[in-house]
Amino acid sequence: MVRLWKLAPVPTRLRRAVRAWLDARYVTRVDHRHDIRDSLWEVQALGRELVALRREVERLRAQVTTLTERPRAAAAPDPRQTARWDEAHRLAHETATAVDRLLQNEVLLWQAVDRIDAGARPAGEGAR
Amino acid sequence: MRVAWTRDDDVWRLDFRLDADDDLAGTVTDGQRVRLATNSCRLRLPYPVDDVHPDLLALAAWTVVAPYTRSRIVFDRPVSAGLAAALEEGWPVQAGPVGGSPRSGARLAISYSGGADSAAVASILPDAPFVHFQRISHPRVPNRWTHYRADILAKLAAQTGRELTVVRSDLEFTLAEPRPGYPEHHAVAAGAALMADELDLAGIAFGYEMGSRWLGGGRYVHRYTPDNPMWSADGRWGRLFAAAGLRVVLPVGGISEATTMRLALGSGLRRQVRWCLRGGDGGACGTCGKCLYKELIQAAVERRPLSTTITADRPVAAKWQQPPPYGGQEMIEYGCARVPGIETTPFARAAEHLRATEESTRWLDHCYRPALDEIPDPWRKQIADFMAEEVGFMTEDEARRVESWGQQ
Ligand SMILES: [Zn+2]
Repeated sequence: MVRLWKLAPVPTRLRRAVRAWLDARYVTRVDHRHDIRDSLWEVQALGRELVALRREVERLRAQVTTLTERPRAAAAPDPRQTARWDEAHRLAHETATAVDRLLQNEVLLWQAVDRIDAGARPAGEGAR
Repeated sequence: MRVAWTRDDDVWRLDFRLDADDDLAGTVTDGQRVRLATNSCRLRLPYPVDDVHPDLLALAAWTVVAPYTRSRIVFDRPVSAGLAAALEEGWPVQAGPVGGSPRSGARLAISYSGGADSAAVASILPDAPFVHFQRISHPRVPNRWTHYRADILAKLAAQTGRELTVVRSDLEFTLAEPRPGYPEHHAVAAGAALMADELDLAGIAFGYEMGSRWLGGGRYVHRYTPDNPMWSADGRWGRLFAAAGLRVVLPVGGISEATTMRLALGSGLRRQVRWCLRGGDGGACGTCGKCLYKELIQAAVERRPLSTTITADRPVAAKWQQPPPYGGQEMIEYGCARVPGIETTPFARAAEHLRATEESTRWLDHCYRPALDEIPDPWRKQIADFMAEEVGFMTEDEARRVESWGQQ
């Protein structure tokens, strides 16, 4: 935007050239020749500015494209994040399986205790 | 196996310990292999009840520990001689200690799940109270099945406006494999058993329909099962419940799922009926195998084309692309014969194999009389009158379709 602002005098110069051309109808031939030379110079300068301006527009257009594409690129999961999720899932699964085994082992442990104990203890006691 | 009940306020806690010859691996009455997860569970009653008859406590405990018990069951308080005898006649076990008198009650309650079958039972028995089993998490077992929205079912049961007793329990988590669930199907009534004296119950009505009772149910497809060990009145479970003063009553035992669906959808409970809760918001998902099966039945009952987004190439529809037998095959025949445009649905291949017609499936619109003979006296007439009025009975030819099921 800053560069565009610097280019703002361009239309002013053009305006001045056009005004000069119009005024020429009321001035001398010599003056007229000067004016034509000046106008030519103006047109050449204007051409150079236009090339610069076009380059600037292209640069900005490219920038816009990059900016709109950036969120889409960000939506793809970060591989480190995915690895962490996989790890959490693995841990949850293995913990659940381990808890299952632990609870079942507890049942079997009480069964073994009772076998030694030969049924002296009521079932409710200690089984919690 | 040795069992002990302890009470803390409104919670009754069951602890059990394996005998030397017991094992973590067990077999349910229907043949399903199961594996024990842990040896305690709880039943939270709606209010503190400090005295429960020992036969009721024994019955409730047995619905949890039966699969793992090999030769002996020892209760923490003496049971009646009748209850011990029912156990010893039904299973190869010794049961005791024995002492004390049997119990009795007067009323019939409905074990209400919220599905179409129990809603049909509710429409047959408009004055019977509901007892609803609500699953809660077990303090020692991580709950990996939070998609099962037991709270929604309990809320819907309350919305029916019927007299309702909700018993909350974690007993399903005593099962490690295949997954949490009722150890024996009858465990759904464990809470009703503990509340039976409070509610003055003499019987519990379940929503098991003709397919479950007489046609072998889901697991032993294709066999007529008058001797069904789970649900026949004089099977081992029927006699055990009766010994505890609680008769097993199957008001819809003589009618098909098509008829229970018709009764449920035509009843005042239509808005509360659910067979699937995976859809979020307490509604059916429309994408699972159960939803597809129930949609076939509902479409057949309502005589309209199938309304589903499921296509034949989806995994939930895979079994219908294979030749029969199918679980619940009588209902697949019924649907294929009645749903317009079945050839454009995931049931097209099944329909080709089954070649069912309205004529060949008409027996599924009527009541199988022997189911009424099983209903205990105090309630038989009311249920038989309902069947005569709202359903109609099978002809002899139609009854033969039941009795020759699996032989054609
Ligand atoms: Zn579903």
